[in-house]
Amino acid sequence: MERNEEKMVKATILLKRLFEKNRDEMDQVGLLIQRDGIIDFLKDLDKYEISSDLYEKLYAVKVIVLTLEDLEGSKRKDV
Amino acid sequence: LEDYRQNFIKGLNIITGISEEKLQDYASNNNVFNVLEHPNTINPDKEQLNRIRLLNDFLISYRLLKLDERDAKITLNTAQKSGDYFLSLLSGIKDRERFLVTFLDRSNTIIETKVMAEGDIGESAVYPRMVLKAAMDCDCSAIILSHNHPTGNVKPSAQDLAVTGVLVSIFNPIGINVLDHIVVGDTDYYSMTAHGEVPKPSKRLVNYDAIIYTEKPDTHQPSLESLICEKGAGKREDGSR
Repeated sequence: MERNEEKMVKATILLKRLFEKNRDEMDQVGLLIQRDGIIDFLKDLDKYEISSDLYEKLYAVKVIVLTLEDLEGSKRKDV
Repeated sequence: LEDYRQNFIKGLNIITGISEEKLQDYASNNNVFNVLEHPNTINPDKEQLNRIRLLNDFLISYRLLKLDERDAKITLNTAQKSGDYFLSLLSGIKDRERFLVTFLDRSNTIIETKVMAEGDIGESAVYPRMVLKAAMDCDCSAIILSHNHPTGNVKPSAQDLAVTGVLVSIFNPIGINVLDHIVVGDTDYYSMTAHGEVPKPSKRLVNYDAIIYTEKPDTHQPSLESLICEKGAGKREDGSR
């Protein structure tokens, strides 16, 4: 069943497919997400030792996530 | 808002490969934030469209994980809590239909939430047998159903009532309650329980056929009775709805 760990694995697999990165690199991302949680992982991207290309892509995802969250939040306030 | 827009465009360019120029051009006449909900409006190529879909799927996973992390124990014991919960998962999805089921323990605390059906508009099929298996696997005491209406109209369709009736009737004999069916549209939701519209269990409604559901216009909807009689609420033999 889809417990927290499975959701993390799914999120990592989706990122892997999205980025087309090698398995080792994404395994590392998966471990970091499991260890720190998805929120802190994206929040603290700067502290991880990951390749610049992977960082750029993860940062892009972070920007999209935060932008949509902010917009959603303000939209609900308006409603 | 302009900062948001520019950051979003840069991020989308990096993730999907759609050029910034194309996104800027689109943003000059449209709301660029809608690209994820209506990807075809920007005429992406096959690979770009695939990446947008993957990004959308990741965003759903992220929201589910965030909910798990924020409230390790989420209890859905009111229609409003359920509505807010599913709103956070389904609002804004306009290019596809997604059917979620949340499985709850005895105190209505979430055990897990699963996507039980997903597809293009009018193409999603719910398999009662799969919902039953998922419920058995997690030993839940209750479930809540939810899906989105891409048009934003939250009023339940006849198919929505039918699928609810089928699942209520399947789960009732084994002591699992279907507490609610939340329909999400844009930034609003509709609780069948709050409106007293959850169908009563009936042996006649027990049916394990796949149920293709769609958000039909309010007019010319088939009645619940016509959907459940003979073949139940499932797909007809000729494949039509």
